[in-house]
Amino acid sequence: MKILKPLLTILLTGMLLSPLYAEKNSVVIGMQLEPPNLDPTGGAAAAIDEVVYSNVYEGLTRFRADGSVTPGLAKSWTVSEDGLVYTFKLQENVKFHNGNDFDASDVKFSIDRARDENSTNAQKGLFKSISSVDVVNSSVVKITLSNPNGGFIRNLAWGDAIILDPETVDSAASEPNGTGPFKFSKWIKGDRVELVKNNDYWGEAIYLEKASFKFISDPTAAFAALMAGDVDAFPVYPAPETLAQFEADPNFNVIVGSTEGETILSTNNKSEKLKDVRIRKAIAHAINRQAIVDGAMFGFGTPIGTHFAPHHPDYVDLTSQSNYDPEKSKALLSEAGASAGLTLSLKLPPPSYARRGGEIIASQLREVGIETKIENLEWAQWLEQVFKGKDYDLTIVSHTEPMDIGIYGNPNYYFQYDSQEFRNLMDALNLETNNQERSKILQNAQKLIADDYVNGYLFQLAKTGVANSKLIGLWENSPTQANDLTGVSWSN
Amino acid sequence: MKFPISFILGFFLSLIFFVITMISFFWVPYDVETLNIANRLKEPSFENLLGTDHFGRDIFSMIMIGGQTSLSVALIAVGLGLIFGVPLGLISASLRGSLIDDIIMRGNDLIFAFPSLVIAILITAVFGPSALNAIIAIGIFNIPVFARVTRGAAISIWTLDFISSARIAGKGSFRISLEHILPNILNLLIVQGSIQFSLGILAEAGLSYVGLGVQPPTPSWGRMLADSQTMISFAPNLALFPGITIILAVLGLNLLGDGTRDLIDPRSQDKIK
Repeated sequence: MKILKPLLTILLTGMLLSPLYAEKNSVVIGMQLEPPNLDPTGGAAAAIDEVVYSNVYEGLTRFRADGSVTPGLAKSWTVSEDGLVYTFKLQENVKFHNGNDFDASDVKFSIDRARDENSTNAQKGLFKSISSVDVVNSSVVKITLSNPNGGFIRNLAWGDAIILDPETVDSAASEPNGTGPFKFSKWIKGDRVELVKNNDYWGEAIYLEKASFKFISDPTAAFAALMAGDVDAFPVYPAPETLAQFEADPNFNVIVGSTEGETILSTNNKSEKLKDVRIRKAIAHAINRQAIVDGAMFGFGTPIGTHFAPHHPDYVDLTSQSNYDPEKSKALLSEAGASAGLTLSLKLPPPSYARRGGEIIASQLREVGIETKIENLEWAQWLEQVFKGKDYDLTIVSHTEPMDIGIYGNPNYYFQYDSQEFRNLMDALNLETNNQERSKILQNAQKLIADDYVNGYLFQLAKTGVANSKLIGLWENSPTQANDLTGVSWSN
Repeated sequence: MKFPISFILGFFLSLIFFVITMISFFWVPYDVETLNIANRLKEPSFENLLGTDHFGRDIFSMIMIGGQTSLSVALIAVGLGLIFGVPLGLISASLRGSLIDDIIMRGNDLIFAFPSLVIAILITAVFGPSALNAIIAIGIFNIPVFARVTRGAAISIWTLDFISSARIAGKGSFRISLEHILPNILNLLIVQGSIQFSLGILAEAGLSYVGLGVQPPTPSWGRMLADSQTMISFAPNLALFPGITIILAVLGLNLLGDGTRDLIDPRSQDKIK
């Protein structure tokens, strides 16, 4: 009996300590918004891709952390001389999570479904140039375009172009069934989505056994969750004001990268008060971008002068064209006959860049004699009133889709910019395959929208993330809306 | 005459609140609608008595102007309650036991049955956030409060002998209510008014906190709290000062109401002694 007691002590101590020594192989990722569904082909919300892109679902090609596009489910491809026929050789021995085999017919199904007239795909423009998708054999797919499209391979990397299993497509919104390294496990609405490792994954094995995405909309709660260790990383952290605190703490890494989020003062170009380009120009000159970056984002963000990401090689810096010049702004207003006073509605969605930025812009516009009526809206109201209803004068929002300058070609888009010249540029861009010519067209497009002062261009949203300092492999930048966890692991 | 301590304390707290708010109509240390980003998050100092917020605005000036919002919203809301609630209560009392009395009082119960702040949120969410809608939302819930207080007090007066004399003298219910009942329940209404006033301030702060009160750039105490909560770990003065202000204003008005009741009600005065 005497020996039993110390033995028991050792045993118990060992049991208590063992979790500390066990290698950690799960991760909890914090996100501010909960996705409305989990089907990236059936919704525009960025939160969908942020959960499933490259984790659960894969496309023929995929974005990497540095923004490059690499093969995904397509092993390799060839393009015909005239740039019209793309032949994709697919990965073999790939299975969907439910056990079904992946083959060329799934590719044809998914792409035909996305480009179908009745499709609810949020980015149908990606598939516009496709004329037909043909199955050559089970591992070769031929896609024929109606006109050459230099950006086609890139288009296929979007979350909206992922490949689904035709059998489970009806339940894709709630129970995603993809080919990725993680399997969907459960979704506790209002709280979290859980993914588990797919042991039959065709590609490179991943480190993590389990990943959860926890939805915390309140910035204060996000701060507390990180501090308490309930969340291991918050890749798009909503409270930039507290980043300095995390920076000073050795337990956390602050990851500052770039995003595709052009934050703009969206302007209703068809509004009676804003039809005149001189008024829009006056607004542009009344805005002090640096004050907004400092005041709303605590210094995180890069001022922009057009709707284009500054880290993109084709970016043209046009910030000086709409520099902060209140005197010029006043002169323009009186020239346009609006010096007597102008009252504009400013409808702000919930993110802090909009709410805080809106207060700063209201104060800056008041300096030049433009009054604004601020109205704070929830996302649902914003989508209804501003995005769909176009019932607004000004709003602030970050456009986070990559390479989305094409939205200016749609006269029915919520800022209602109607320019044949711009549409001609976009048509030319879609036909052009020469890279040099493409970048020239893109630069002209940037200049055109800056010359027309379509919107007030504020700043490029910085990706300010906070992560446990032992967690490695998270994306630094956001080439697309995603939390690709395939390369994430814990260091010791 | 001995003043109860709660009355003295409440009187002075309320006085400070009124005086500061009144001053703000004519003068504040700094303009609160001009942002000065370079001067943000300053600690309290002689230049900025309570420091500056994340936009470089002077917190003391914001609290002063925020007082205007609180004062006007609460005052008008209480006014609404008095204007509609008191006549309803008087009518109910004069027709006690009748169908009309029942309809009025059950209508009151109906409004009472809803949690007031939740309905206030519903009203402002439906009609859009603005000071006016906040006033209406808070005002509606003051109506049944005053109607009940008025009815209860009025009924007890109706049974008194001098009312019977007035009856015999040929006065109708309307004149009796106006000339005899109302003056005799006025002190009660004043007490209830000051308590409702403090609740109105609290409700306005609550609505602003959830973003349904006055809209920026007009400062309001509730929104100052909401805006500063992510910064509480490194700039506690941003949340602390508006928070303390709300507490003191509400406490002051409550004490004033309680104290006034003690003062005018001889029975509770005995208790104090």
